[in-house]
Amino acid sequence: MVFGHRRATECERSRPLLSAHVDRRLSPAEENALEAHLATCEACAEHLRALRLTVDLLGQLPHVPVPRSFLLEAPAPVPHRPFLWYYYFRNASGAVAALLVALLAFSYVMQAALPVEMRSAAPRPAAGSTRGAAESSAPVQAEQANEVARPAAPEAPMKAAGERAAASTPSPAAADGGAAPAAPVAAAPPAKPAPAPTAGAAALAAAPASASPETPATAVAAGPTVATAPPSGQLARDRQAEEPAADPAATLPIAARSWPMRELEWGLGVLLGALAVATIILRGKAA
Amino acid sequence: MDEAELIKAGQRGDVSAFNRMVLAYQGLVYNVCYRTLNDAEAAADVTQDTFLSAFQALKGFRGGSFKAWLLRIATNGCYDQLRRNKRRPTTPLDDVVGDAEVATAFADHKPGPEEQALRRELLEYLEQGLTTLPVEQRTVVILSDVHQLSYEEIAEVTGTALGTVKSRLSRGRGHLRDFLLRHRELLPLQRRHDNVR
Repeated sequence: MVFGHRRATECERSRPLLSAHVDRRLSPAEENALEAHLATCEACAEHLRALRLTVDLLGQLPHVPVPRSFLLEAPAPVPHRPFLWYYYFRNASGAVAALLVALLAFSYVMQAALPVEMRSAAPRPAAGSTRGAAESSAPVQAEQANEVARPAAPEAPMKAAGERAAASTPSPAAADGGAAPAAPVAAAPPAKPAPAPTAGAAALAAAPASASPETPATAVAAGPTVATAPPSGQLARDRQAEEPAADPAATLPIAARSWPMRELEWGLGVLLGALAVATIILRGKAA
Repeated sequence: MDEAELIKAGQRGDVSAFNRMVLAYQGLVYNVCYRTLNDAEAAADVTQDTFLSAFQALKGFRGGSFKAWLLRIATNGCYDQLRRNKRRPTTPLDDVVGDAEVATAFADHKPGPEEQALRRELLEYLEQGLTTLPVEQRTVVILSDVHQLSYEEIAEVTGTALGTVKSRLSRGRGHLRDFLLRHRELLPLQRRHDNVR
């Protein structure tokens, strides 16, 4: 009884090893133990024979021929580089053209915002902001006023007047679209303490009709110009003494002072032309 | 160009280089799929998907056995197919494996007509027995005993430990042995006994 139980235990331990034994994947110790058991156990030896036959038969299963080819198809050829560059240049040309159109439209709007009498003096809007427009239009009026005042006050510091006109342009310029500040600026030039009714008249003539009375500078400069010209001239001399060095840029012509906008437009135009030519060339190559 | 160079070319997107590996492995992959699925049409579909997936994932191949990597994709595809088509009827093997192929398989033994018929019946029975195995055991038995992969390669294909491969193979073979013994009259056991002894 004890002997039979021990044999059954050995069989249970040996059976799972038979598969690895067929493949010779047992350790030497396991091989020896299994061989010893198989020599005495006919049931396990029979089990091993059947297992070998099964493995042998599995190895003889026929190879099934493939029903078709499984080759992959080559993908469509990728478009070459010149064609891609064509798209880049085409899109860039469009972007530059749009930018240029926007810039020109902005320039037109700024030009239209100027009063009619100022358009001839300022052929082009000078800057990209209302403050810039005020700064550029103010010297125009200052120079016009100075031209009128020159006979009466030949030694009048025109440069200083122009500079002050640009520097002292009040903030309401933005609210008035750049036109209103022209009036106080034009009224400033009576630089001599001597009465200068002609300068005041020129200022009144140059002042736009829309000059708002609530503008402090307008009320002081345009309204009581004739009566208060001497104090205003005194103030101008005081300011000149405080600011002896005038900005050289103020002496430049209008067109020269508006160079960033003009240069930008010219630059964009040239760039657009170059891009268009490159796009046309690449288009020809891609085709 | 050896396999490593073909793989590198395939990783650069060279389809023709990859197709040379397809030619080398399509028989193995298709047969593994066919034995696992027991369905010629589904096996062809999974084989095609295997090569497509392999080409797309080739950049992620980090070396090792390309065959094992490919078969892993194939066996996973078979598992997915079995899950999808559990109730789908399978194509009988008779439709695919002709008499000439079975005869070729036993050409070495030069059996007589009666023995040929007996062996053909036995192999058909064995193929039927394969389909009764749990799919994990079936895969291991097919890879080991039909296609002669080593334990290490099978472990790589199935993504399991070596001990798991051994135990699955032992249980699968034991199951098939029991299946064959139910038709003992087909087994030339007496002659086999003589050979073993």
